[in-house]
Amino acid sequence: MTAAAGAGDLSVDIELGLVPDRRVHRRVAWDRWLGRLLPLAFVAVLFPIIDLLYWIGSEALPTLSWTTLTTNPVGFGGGLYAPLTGTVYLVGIATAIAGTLGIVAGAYTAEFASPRAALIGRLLANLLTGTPAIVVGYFGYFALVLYTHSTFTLWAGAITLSIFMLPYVYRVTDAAFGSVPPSQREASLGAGSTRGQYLRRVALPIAFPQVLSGLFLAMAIGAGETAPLLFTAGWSITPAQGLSSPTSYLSGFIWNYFDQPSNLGHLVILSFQAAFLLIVGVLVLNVAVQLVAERYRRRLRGFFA
Amino acid sequence: MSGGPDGLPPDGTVVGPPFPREEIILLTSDLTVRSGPREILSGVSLAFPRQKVSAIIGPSGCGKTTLVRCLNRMAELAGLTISGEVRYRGRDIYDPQVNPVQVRRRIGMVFQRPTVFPSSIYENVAFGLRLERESREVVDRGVVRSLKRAGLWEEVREDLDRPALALSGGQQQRLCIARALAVEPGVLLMDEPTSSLDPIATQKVEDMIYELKKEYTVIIVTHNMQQAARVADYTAFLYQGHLVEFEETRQFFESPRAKLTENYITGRFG
Repeated sequence: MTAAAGAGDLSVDIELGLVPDRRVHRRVAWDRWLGRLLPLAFVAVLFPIIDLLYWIGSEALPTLSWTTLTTNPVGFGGGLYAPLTGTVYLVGIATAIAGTLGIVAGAYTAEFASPRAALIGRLLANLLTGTPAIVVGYFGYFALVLYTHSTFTLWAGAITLSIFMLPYVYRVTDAAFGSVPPSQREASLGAGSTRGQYLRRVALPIAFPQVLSGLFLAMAIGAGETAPLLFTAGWSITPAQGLSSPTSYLSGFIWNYFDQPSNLGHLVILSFQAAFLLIVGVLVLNVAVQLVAERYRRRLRGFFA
Repeated sequence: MSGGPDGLPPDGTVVGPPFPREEIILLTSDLTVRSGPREILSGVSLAFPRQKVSAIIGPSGCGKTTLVRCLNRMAELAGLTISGEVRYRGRDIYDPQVNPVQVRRRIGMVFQRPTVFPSSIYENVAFGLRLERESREVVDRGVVRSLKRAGLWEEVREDLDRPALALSGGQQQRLCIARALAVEPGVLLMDEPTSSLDPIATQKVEDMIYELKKEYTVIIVTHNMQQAARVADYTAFLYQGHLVEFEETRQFFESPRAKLTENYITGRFG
């Protein structure tokens, strides 16, 4: 290039590739269109969620008060104390069962199981995840209600719910332990740890945020389920009189009362409020997952490079 | 050397420099390792003297990493089939009555890349001692002693509670060495410990290895012949799973006995 080629000399610009040719022009134009279309897709995803929240909120919030949470359903009105506590008990017990079993089994699958056993475990867990909740509920009905000559009980409901939640906890735990870099395992075993010590002292702290988010996810899914509970926990309008009696629960309240004629008190409004409480619960669990994950991300910074 | 194919000694021959039998701390005898149908090591018999640095060199894929991994029973974790004997202070570590976990506590290992745990500097070094449920004082003393031996103490003494992941690559590798030393192993195995480090960090690790042999037996795998010449008292040459030569380092590099060794160290292949 010569010094004579001054600024603005088009032939030089073309030589340097600074002037976009037709093909580049087309790509830039396409890019601009995509830039307008993608936000639309984003809104299309968000719209139903926001609309749902708005709809439930506008029905539930105007009459939601502290007494709604502390009083039992009475006649065509009252509050949601019984279903709220029922859901807390059911999900609490189910989480304890599914959490313990799922985490232990997941850790076993990732570390100890033979490749074939691990494959079978994962396959069965996938199958169970895909099993309709109503089928799990029916199984619970046969195994825990009919077979034991019992009635609908909180126990039966919690156990059935835990079966439904189990594969989520199991799969996430398995994946979480499986994603620990193999070099960590070598370093731990090479330093003379047993495999159990490796799992607890090295792998668990690394896998923990993922395991915990799987557990919270399972809780959120379990809290909203109705089908596993209908034939097992039965239904009650009052708080459960212990583990061996039928119980009330939020999803059951919606199931039972959302379609009542609206001139009958405010059962429909209470159903909306039950739905609202479930959504708030799921939101709280999700925020908790994010907070925990963030804390651990900070600790593990630079680890999963 | 004479005997085997390609000028290799016949399998099972103990190849080694003349040092007294009582100096032997670790010994392999006809060690053969297979991965499925493929033979990775073929009848390696080799004796390592105590409180010396022994280097294992050879071209990529010659089996040197597999060999060190057999010395503390790490190889079997990768599903390799091992036959032959490895004796540590006269005891066969592959005896069914011997627990591999015990073996790995006595024969420590440092890997190619630093493998720090995502916890504090202190907890990393304390790892092995915690496994043995040592008391707080023992752990404290062990951590300080090991960090000093690994030449890291002055750099981290104020930062023991900081995350180990914040250290530089070279510091992380010395931390891993400190972690391995904390349980007072009889032998320290190092699998290309400086291959991911820059020259200055490499220098520091090499200086440390030189200090370590006053108390420890070090067996180091390296792809770097100059490193072997710098740090090792004895050097072994592996080629295609066979042990070609094991010799006092100066002798090894100045007048190798095997033609194959000479070709390798003069850079004709590898």
